[in-house]
Formats: sequence, structure tokens, C-alpha cells
Amino acid sequence: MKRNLALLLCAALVAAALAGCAGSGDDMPKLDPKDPVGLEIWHYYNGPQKEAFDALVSEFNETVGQEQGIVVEAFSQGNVNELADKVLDAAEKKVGAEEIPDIFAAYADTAYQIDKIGLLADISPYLTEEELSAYRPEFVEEGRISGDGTLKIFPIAKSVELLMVNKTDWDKFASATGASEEDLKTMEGITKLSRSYYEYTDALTPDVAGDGKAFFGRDAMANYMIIGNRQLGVEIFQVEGGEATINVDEQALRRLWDNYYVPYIHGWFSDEGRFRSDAAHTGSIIALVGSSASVTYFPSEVQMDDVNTYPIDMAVYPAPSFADGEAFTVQQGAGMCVTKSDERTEYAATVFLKWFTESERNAAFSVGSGYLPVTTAALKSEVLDAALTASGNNEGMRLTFGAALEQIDANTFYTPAPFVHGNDCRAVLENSLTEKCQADRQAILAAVEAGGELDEVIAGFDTDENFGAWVSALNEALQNASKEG
Amino acid sequence: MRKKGKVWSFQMRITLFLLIMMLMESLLFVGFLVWGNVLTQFDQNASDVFVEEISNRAAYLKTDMIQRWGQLDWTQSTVEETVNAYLEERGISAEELVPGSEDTTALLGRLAPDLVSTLRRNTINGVFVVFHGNGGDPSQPQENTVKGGIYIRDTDPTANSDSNADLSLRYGPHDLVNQLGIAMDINWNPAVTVQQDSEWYYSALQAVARYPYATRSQLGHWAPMHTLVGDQDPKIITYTQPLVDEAGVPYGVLGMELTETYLRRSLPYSELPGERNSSSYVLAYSDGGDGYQIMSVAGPLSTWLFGEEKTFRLAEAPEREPLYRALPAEGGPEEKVYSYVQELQLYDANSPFEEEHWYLVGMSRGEDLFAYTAQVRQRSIALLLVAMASGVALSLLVGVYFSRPINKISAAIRDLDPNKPVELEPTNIREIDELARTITTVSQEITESLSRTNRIIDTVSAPIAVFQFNQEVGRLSCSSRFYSILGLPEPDEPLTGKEFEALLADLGKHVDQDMGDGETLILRLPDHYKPGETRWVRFQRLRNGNYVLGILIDVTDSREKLARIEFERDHDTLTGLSNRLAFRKHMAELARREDPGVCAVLMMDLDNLKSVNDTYGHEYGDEYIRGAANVLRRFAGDRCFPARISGDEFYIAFSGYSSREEIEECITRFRAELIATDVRLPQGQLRRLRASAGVAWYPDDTLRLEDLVHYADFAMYQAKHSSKGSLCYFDIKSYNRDSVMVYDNAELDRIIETAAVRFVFQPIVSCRDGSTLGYECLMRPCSPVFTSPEDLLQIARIQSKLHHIEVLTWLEGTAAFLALPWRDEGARLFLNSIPSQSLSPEEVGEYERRFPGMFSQTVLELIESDEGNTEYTEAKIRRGKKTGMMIALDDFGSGYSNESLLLELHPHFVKIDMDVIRGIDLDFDRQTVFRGIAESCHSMGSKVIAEGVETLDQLRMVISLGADYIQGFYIGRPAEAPEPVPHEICNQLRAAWKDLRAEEPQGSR
Repeated sequence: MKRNLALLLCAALVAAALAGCAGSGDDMPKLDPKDPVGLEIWHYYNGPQKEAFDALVSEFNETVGQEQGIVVEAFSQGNVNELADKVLDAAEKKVGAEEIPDIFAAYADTAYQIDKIGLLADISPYLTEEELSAYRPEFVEEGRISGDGTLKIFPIAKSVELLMVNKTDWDKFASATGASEEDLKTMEGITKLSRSYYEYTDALTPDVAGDGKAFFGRDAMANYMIIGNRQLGVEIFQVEGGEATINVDEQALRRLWDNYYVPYIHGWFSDEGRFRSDAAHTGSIIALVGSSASVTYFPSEVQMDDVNTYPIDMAVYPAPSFADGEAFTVQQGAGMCVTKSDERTEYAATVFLKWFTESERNAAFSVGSGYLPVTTAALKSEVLDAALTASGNNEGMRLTFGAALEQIDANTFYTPAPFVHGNDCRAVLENSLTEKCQADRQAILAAVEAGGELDEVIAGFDTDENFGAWVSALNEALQNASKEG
Repeated sequence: MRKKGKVWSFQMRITLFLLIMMLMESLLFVGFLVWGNVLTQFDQNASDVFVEEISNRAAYLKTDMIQRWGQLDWTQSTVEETVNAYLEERGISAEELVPGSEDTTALLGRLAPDLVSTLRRNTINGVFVVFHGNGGDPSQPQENTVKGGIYIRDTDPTANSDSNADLSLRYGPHDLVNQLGIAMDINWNPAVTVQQDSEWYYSALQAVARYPYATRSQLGHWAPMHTLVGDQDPKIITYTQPLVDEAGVPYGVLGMELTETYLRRSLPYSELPGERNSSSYVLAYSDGGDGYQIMSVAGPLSTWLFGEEKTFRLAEAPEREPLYRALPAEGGPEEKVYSYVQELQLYDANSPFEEEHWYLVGMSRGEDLFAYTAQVRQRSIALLLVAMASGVALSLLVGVYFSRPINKISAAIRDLDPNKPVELEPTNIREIDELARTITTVSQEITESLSRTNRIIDTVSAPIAVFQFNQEVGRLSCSSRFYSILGLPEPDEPLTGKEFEALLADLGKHVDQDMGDGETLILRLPDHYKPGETRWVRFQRLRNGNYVLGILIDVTDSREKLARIEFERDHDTLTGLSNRLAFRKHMAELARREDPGVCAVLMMDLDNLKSVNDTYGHEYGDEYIRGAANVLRRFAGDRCFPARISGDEFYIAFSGYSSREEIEECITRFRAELIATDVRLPQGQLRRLRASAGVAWYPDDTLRLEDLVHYADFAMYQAKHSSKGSLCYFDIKSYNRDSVMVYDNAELDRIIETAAVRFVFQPIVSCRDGSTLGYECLMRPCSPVFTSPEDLLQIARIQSKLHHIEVLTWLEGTAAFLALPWRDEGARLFLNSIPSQSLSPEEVGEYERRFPGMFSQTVLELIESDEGNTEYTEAKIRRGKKTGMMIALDDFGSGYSNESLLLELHPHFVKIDMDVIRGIDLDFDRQTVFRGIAESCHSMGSKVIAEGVETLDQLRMVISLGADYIQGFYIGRPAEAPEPVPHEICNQLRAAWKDLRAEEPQGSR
């Protein structure tokens, strides 16, 4: 009797001790609505994109978040480069840097750097094969940056480059000169049109010579360099095992030169404003190549001066490519990285990201932001049409998705794989030609100011030597960037 | 009587004492925690730290807002100076600073560098100057006006750039865009749009008129969270001071902005208690209205709590003063969240905006805030539990330790084997050892008396065992045959009380028969020693207080005998089919049934048996019979009851059918199978089975089931006489007509009247020495019609003339016996009496007259009647007793005679049927049957006669199995004048007896 009592007590103690160790039974960590997991997200969305993102975050917090115990806070960190810097600062624990967030948006190159530090969580354990198969395979593939089967980037939205045209002014130009839309399809056509537009606008004020206007500008020069080369059969960064071989191909670069540098120094192209949509706003250009996400920034009016404006319409076309080039198109858009923390937080992060990319929601974000959805199901015109209708039929967005889907159908997506110092090399591509153009254009204007004849001065720059100098400068800069970073 | 106090064990006393001690200590500890205010103090500390943290953070924030971000005094004077100088230089008034004008653009161009440096110095998100221009009275705000101005933004003030590349121009003339190298904001506009409710613009401007003597900074206003016209983001708060000319007239504003995102970075919520995900700082604003407006939020707790609400409310928390409880938004989580509110006091007393309040609110979940207390409480409880548990365990151990010597002694006594002397180990405690010695002495005496009893029982060689079980202490003592009688292996250790009780319960499952009082049982047990066999044990129980006494007797032998007898009674040894007796019982049982259904009896007589017997010998005759029996057996079932009646006669009783057709169908199948059956004869010959059969129907032919058999007999005879191997159904008309005609009654009458029979005699000799016990008298009809005595009897029965045959047997048989030319001296006459017949007293008188004294020399052979007329049998027995006539039970083992008759008659002789004897030397089953019968007979004092012995091997076998006398072809065939038994055979008998029986004691084995 007494012995039984003692046994009972001992058993109770052991049971109590064990109860502490018991718990998690399922595969996935348990969330608790009474003890919510807080998720901080850093992104680079602004304006309409941020609005669309925030609206979905709020919806999540009020529904699934409330049910499962997840609170998402999203913060814009400026643009994609600022975001990358902040994440890197946080990752490297620089003085004054904030703590690294639970989720952040990043291009593969940035993600690659953070992953090297060992801060990225592998998302794949939280996703079933079936869940993964819903996404466009190439988007998922892009997230497998470690090359060990792990998934480090969750695709949430993608953008393509599109050609946006101030239709009001284009129509005037076209009817006056007979310019053909057909020329909008190729880089060579754009160059031709630009010259024609410059001459047309110059002629509008016969009393003033050389006041022609630029026709075209492009936002992302790195994309021009990468995809231009690719279309011409050259992979400028040939990546293998995280190491890139740099291919500087003079022949290909010459065509890029001829269709950017040359029209630029003539004043047919412009890179005014932070984004070319600014230049379109002020009427400095009437056509631009920019991200599909930038459609939301395309102005609805032209600001002639500080007081006067006139309304304009927009037309959207697939991005022009090199005549006879291979059918490649740029696909970009950061994915979301989840930082290493505890299973519960990582799991909660994937719950949010999965929710965010469920087809209809993904489509809703797309029509609000100009980004393309990432699931195969949502990347269909019916689904996008339905989302457009549901969001109030934004005409600009309808044009955008029309052009974007046309472009996707006709081309293969191309994105260089990430590699060490990829960010730095990309920066070189972004700036090299732009800086060359700006410097030479300034020099030309200065020379003309000093009394030079415009055509002669320009001819002095439009030379093989000048091209050769740029190519070697570019080569050197790329080599340096790929070594030091 | 002395009052009996509660009995406590020694161990219990010690344990309880220690337990109470420990409980008191625990109470003291709990008391210290609860009443010593320790936990409350912990809570208070946590609360204090929380408050201090928030107060400090608020102080920092206030310093940042006023001293750093909102410090515009230097810029103010610079801007005002520059504007004054420009206006003077251009000779224009401030009202002309309208959007689009060249003056405005030029002036803003001059101001821009100072503004940029202010932006950098104050590390703010934006800086702006807006001219009121010709906007009229600022106290009358107009809707949607455009004003000249510049608004420069920096999304990340912490990152400084050498160029202005990180800045953007939200508002400002187009020309400045290129001039300043500042990029256009996405929503860039050349002129500033101001709306009626643009607090960021009007508040400070309007305050100038109301507070003419206030300093610029006193007129400065913090505008709560808003966005600029056309912006979706960023959400900003602004600080605006008026630009005032020397006359004290305001002409514009200077201000700066902070974005929500940037502000958030000044609210490091993780310094508050709780995990990173369970606290929040909220920068809140109140203009005296209800609740707090959220300006900026850091940390997820508030989002979790308030969702997308822009305002929130606090409730007093008296128990946690000075903290408040943050009330969740409708539908939000009902978690206890505590907050502390610290006002920032951005405005001086009596300044224009003293009604507006800015607060820093810190929030943590109660669970996290007071986690330490909870932890202490939890650990204390755990500690207390552990302490209590170990205390209890210790108390028990101590109790056990002190009481062990005593418990050991008492356990030793309890577990004593009463059959052995007691040995108690010394405990080395004097008092206890003294007690132990006394116990030892007493117990030795008890042990001896007990073992004496058991020894007596063991010496009795009978299969008897006794036991005694003490229920209180669970001790068993038993005599040595206890286990063997139960058929159990002897256990190594004596059974414990529990084991014994389990054994009793198990025995309870094997009760075969309850003798009535519930205490005397017959158990049927599996035998451990001979697997597969069964033991019968008579189990008698006696309860006496705490004792159970029991007697076990092995009754397996007598039970087995009974079972065997029951089987033999009902079965035919040759074929294993039911015998005549069983068939009769079956018919009687049918007759008792209320609704026997459609019934039929088929009588079948094998054709050709005689020719098989004669040609190939009895062995093959038996084979022929068995062949038929095998077919019959296949049909046996609930509704079909086959039986062998005699030699080649079989009956099948069908009952319980719903229609005659069903039975007919069954009969057809049976016949088909029968005639398709081959019997193997010597040299591989095959012989087809052939039989004649008759069938009588119930209720078609008769409503008396008793008649069925009789009618079936008749039908069979008809069949037999029509052609062999045929089947006849009973027909009442032909019965009425032919029963007389078919059987030649004239011939029967002739036989009876002229005594046209002769008698043959077969010797019965003693196994011991070959001396002749007597002769069996067998009647043979002298008739061309009736070739066999069976035929004669059959017809006589049908003609109801059996009595005449009986009389004939007695009178003529005895006469023939006495007329024998030679017979052994003292040999007896064995007469076969018809069971259903008995001599009348007159006839008995006549017999005594003719053969005086002959009764005492006669042995009456009886078989049990299939007619069930036992009254005649009884009369014969009475007569036999009176006259000294001996009785022999004939055909024993064939189905005609059975054990009950054996018990009833106590016959002098039992004649074991030749069916049993045939092939007995090779057949183990027959040997078993024979031995069983012989043993039974011997045990009742009857002598055993083996009939039909045909070979020396059979002879030796039956002798070895217990036969006392032998009859059969081997000894001598029936003959009208039997010869003396040859010497050779007498010698064989003597030798066999000597070999097989002499060494054994006479009588039953």
C-alpha cells in the first residue's frame, strides 16, 4: 500500500518532467494565434507597388495572420539598391545597421552574397513538391542559388522590360512623317525613328537650329548590355559554379554602341531624370524602355513648363530587340529571401509568402503593381483579365499585360546566374556606357558652345578608336569588379 | 471489554511523523513566497523597469524631435534673411512669389543649398519652403491652391551622399531640377499643392496672428501623420514654422518632414520585455479627442492588437499602476497587453498648440512583462513538488528501514512452509529475537501434527489427495498426490495464495458435473502427463472459517469405463454404425416428437453376402458389409439415421423431411452410390454391392411410427422375393393380401406341427484347460422353403408363431441334447431363447415333467429384444432364479445386448459376439473393446465367453484379453453329434493360459 503510493508519486514526477520535453508532433512547426510570430519584411516597393503590397499585408494580418498567429510588418527601404545595401549592412552587422529582417526582397546576386555569409534559410522544407510545382519552373530554378538543391529565393513577382510610348505625341509625329510602328520592334528601328523624330522636332522651330528633341531613353542600361549581348549570341557573364567568365565581344558591343552611344551623342536619345518616365513627364522623350512595373509611373500628362500641361495617352509594346537577334528577353524582379532564425519563424514566413503568391492574389498584386505573377496558373490572360476587371479596369495595366504576355510568348527568359561580385559587375554595366555617353555629350555640347560645328564635333567622337577605348575601359572595369568587388 | 484503539503499523507511524514534518516545512516555504510579498515585489520591479525604459526612450525621442530634427532656428533666420534680401533687391513684395514666376524660381534656387544642408544636418526626410504668395488671409484657407515653393526629400537621411543623387525634388520649378542636380520625385510637380485641411501648411501660418509675440519656434507645429496631395506614400509627420516678415506678417512656411519608416527606427521596441515579436512602441497623437491616434508603430504587437485601426484606447489597470491595459480592436486578440504612456511635451504651456499631445506608448504582453514572476512561481511550485516527492519517498524509506526487522520476521512466519520446522533469522534486536524464538518452538509442534496427517493420507495407495488452504495468509498445504491427481506438474516452489486461488478459479472452468451441493464437483481436466487425454477428478470442498479444506479423488478409470460402455452400447463394432439398440432408441425418440415431419424407414438386406462368406470367408464377408456401411455412413445426418441391425440387415430412418419427394430423392442417391461401390475381394477381384430394400412411409402408410419398421421389413421381403437388388415401397393392400400368402404359412405350420427341425451343438470350452463347459444348441429347420433359422424366425414373427418356435426350442432342443451319443460329463445346455417369448406355466410344467432337473443344467441365452418386451425376459430370469437355471447374455457387443442388461441381469456368462472376435488378433480397437467388456464382466463376477473364434491367433488373443471360455470353429463346429475337443487344442489352450494369464492373479485386472 505504502510502496504503491511511493511508486505513484515517482511516476507522477517522471511524467511531469517528461511533459516538458513532449510537444511538436507534426512535420511543420506549430503556430499559436495567442503567441504570434512577428515577421518584418523589407522590400523596395514604392508608390502603387507599395500600396498594392501593403493592402495585401493588411489583408493577411486580418485573416490568415489572425487565425494562425502571424503578424507581418512590411517596410519599404527605398529602391532595390538601397535595400540591398541595407540588407548587406545588417547582415555584416555594421555599426548603426538595423537588425536583419525576417524576409527581404533581393535579386539573386544580393541573395547570393547574403547566402555566402550563411544567413539565408532553406525554404524547401516548408514547401511540398505540389506547392512548388505551381510556380513557373524557371522562377523557382532562379532561387536555387546554392546549387545544392536548397531553395533560397521565393519568387513572388517578376517584371519584364516593355516599350512605353507617349501615344499622343507619337501619333502627331507619325502622321507628320509617316513613321511606322514596325520600327518600334527593333533597336535599329528605334535608332532610325529617333533620328527622324529629332529632325522632325528640330524642323518645328525653323528659326532655331539644333533644338530637336530626343525620342527615346531606357531605364536599365545593365539589362541593355546583358540582353543585347545575349540576343547577339554572347553571354557577357558566363557563370559556372558561382564563378563568371567575362566575355567582352567587340562585334556585339559595336552594335550596342551603334544603337545607344551614337544616337545618344546626337541628342536622339536621352537619359534625363532619375527614371525615363520623368523625362516623358517633362516631354523630353516620347518613348522609353522600362520595367513593366514602371508603367504605373508613366505620366498621364506632359508638364510643358511650371504651369502648363497637356494630357497624353500611353501605348505599350514589347521591348525592341536587335534585328536578326536571338529571341531572348529580360526577366527580373527580386524574390523574397527568408533569413535563418528558428523553425517557427521560417515556417511563418513561408506561410505568408505562399499565401501572397496564391494565383488570384498574385494576379491582384500584379494588376496593382505592373509586376507579373509567378505561378503558371496566374500567368494567363484569363486570370489577369479577371483580376483587371476586379480592380477596376486600369487601361494602362491592360495594355501592359497584353504586351508582356505577347513578349513572353515570343521569347525565352534570360537572367544571368548569380556569381561572386555579380552586383559589382552589374553596376559596371549599368554605368559604363551611360557615363561615357554623358561625358562625351557634354564635351560635344561644350565644343559646340565654343563654336564647333555640331556634325563635325560629333564625327570626332563617333570613331572606331573611341569605341575601342570604351571597350577596353569596360573590359578593365569588369575584370576589376569581378576580382575585388 | 477493553476498547480497541486504531491499529497502526510501526512503519506507518514513522512515515506519518516524517510526512507531517515535511508538510509543515513546505507550508512555511509557500507562506514565505505568498505572504512575504516576494512575488509581488518581482512584479513591481518588472513594472518599474518597463516604465523606466519607456520614459527614457520618450526622453530620447523628444530630444531628437525638438533638438535635432525640428531644430530649424538657424535655417529660419537664414531663409528669412535671403528672402528679405531678394525681395529688396528685386523691389517686389512677398505676394508676388507665385508659382511659375521667374522670381520665385530664382529665389528658390538661392534657398536650395541652405535647405539641402539643413536636410543633411538635421538628418530629416524632407525640407521645404512654401510661399503664401497672393493666397490672401491665411486664416481663410482655400481649397486646392498652388503655391510657389520647393520641397526636397531624402528617403534615407542616415546615408549621406557627396552629390545630391540621393535627393529628390517633390515640388519645385522644372529649371531647378537640372540646376540642382536633384532628381524629380515620382510625383514631382513644379508648384506646391495646398488644400484647405493641409495642417502642415496652415497651422503654423495661422498661429502667427493669434500669438503675435510668440517666437518662431513657439509657433512651430507638428502635424500628425499625413501624405502630400497626390502621394500614396510616404506617410509623414511634418514640423512647420512660419516665415514672417519684419512687420510680423507671415508670408510662407519653412518645415521639415519625417517619414513613418524613418521614425520607426527611433523606436527600438526590442528593448521592451518580450521576444522580438511581442512588444511595440507606438508614437501616438491626441488632440484631446477620444483615444490615441497612431503616428508610427514599431514592433508587431500593436499591429497584432489593433490590426489596421488608426486609433487605439487604453484602460486603467489598477492592479498594475501606473500601467494601462491596451484594449484590442474589435475582434482582436483578448490578450493582456500592458502599456505605459509617456507624453513627449513638444509644446510649451500657453503656446498655440498646447492642446495637442504627442505620446510614446510602450507595450508588452503581460505574459512577457511578468515572465520572471511567473517563472519564479513555476519553479517554486516545481521545487516544492520535488521536495515533497522526495520527502515522501524519504519518509517511506525511513519507515521501511526501521520496520524492516519486524516485517521480515512477520513475513518469514507468514511464508512458512507448515511442513517444515521454522527457522527465523536473528535480527540482532533483543526483544524481537526473543519473540522469534517463542514462535519457532510453537510452530514446530504445529508442523509436526500437520505433516502427520498428510503422511497418513499419502500412505493410503488410493488416488486421493487432501489440501488445506488458509485464505487469510494465502498459504496452502497439501498431501503429495495433490498435483498428480489434478494432472498438473509438481511446482518447484509451493503455490502462493494468489496462485492457488487462480488454480481454483481455473478448476471451476472444468466442472463437468455438480453433485448438487455446489461443493462436490466432478472435474474434467486435461492431463498434463498424457497430453490429449482427460482426467476425471471428484473434488469435494469444505469451508471452515478462513480455511478451505478439500479432498480430491481420481475417478478417471470409472469414468472412462462408463464412457466406453455408453459408446459400445450404441454402436456396432464391425461397421461403427449405430446398432439395433440405438436405432430402437432413435425410433422411440421420433415417436415422442410432436411433429416428426415426413418420415420413412428403409430396410435393406445385402444380397450375396452368404455367397461371399461361403466363397471367400468371413473376412471378405465383413468387407462386403463394411462397404455397404461406408455408403450408409455418408448419408448419416440430422434427418437420416442409418443402423446395422444384424448380419446383412440395415435400417435407415428418415425423419423431419418436408416432403416424400425429398426422401425419395435421397434414397435414389443412396441406391445409386451403393450399386456403384465395389468391394475388393482376393486376387484383386471386385464385387459390386447389391442389396434389396423396402421402404415404408410415415404418414402415408401408417400414422404409427412403431409400424414403420415392421412395414419396411415387409416391403423388403417383397423386394427380395421379386428380384434381387430391387427396391419396393410398402403397399398396404399387398400387405393385407400377401403377408399371409408370401410366407408359406403352410410350411411353417408343417414345421411346427411335425417339429421338422433338427438341432446342432457347438462346444464351449474352458480356456484354462480345454474342459467343456457346455454346448450351444442351435436349431436348423428341415424345410426346402426355409433354409436358415433366421428365415424361419422372420416368418414366424410375421405370422405371430414365435411362441411355437420357442416351445420347439425348449422341448425338442433339450430332447436332442439328452439324446446326444456323447457329451462331456457335466456339460451344460446353452439354449437360445426368443426374447419376446416365454413359456407358459403349463409348458414349464410339461418341461419339468419331461426333463426333470434339467433346468439346473441349462444355460439360458438371452439377447435383448428389439421389440422391447422386457416382461418376458424378466419372467425368464425369475424362473431361472427359481430353478437354478444359469443365464448367459448372448451377442454382447453386437448391439443386441448391452451394459444395462448386464447390470440388470448379473448373468453368469457373457458371450462376446463374433463381430468383436473376428480379426481381433490384428485389430487394436477390437482388443480394446474386448478387454473393456471382459474387465467389466469380471468386475461383476460374470465369466466371459468368446464366440466365433476361428484361428489360433484369435484364441491366444482373446485369452490374453481376459476370455474365460471359448466357442468357435477352431474349437469345434456345430454338429448334431459333437466330437470331443481334440487334445491338441486343449494343449494349445493350456499353453496359452500359462503364457498369458497364469502369472496374473485370478480375477479382474
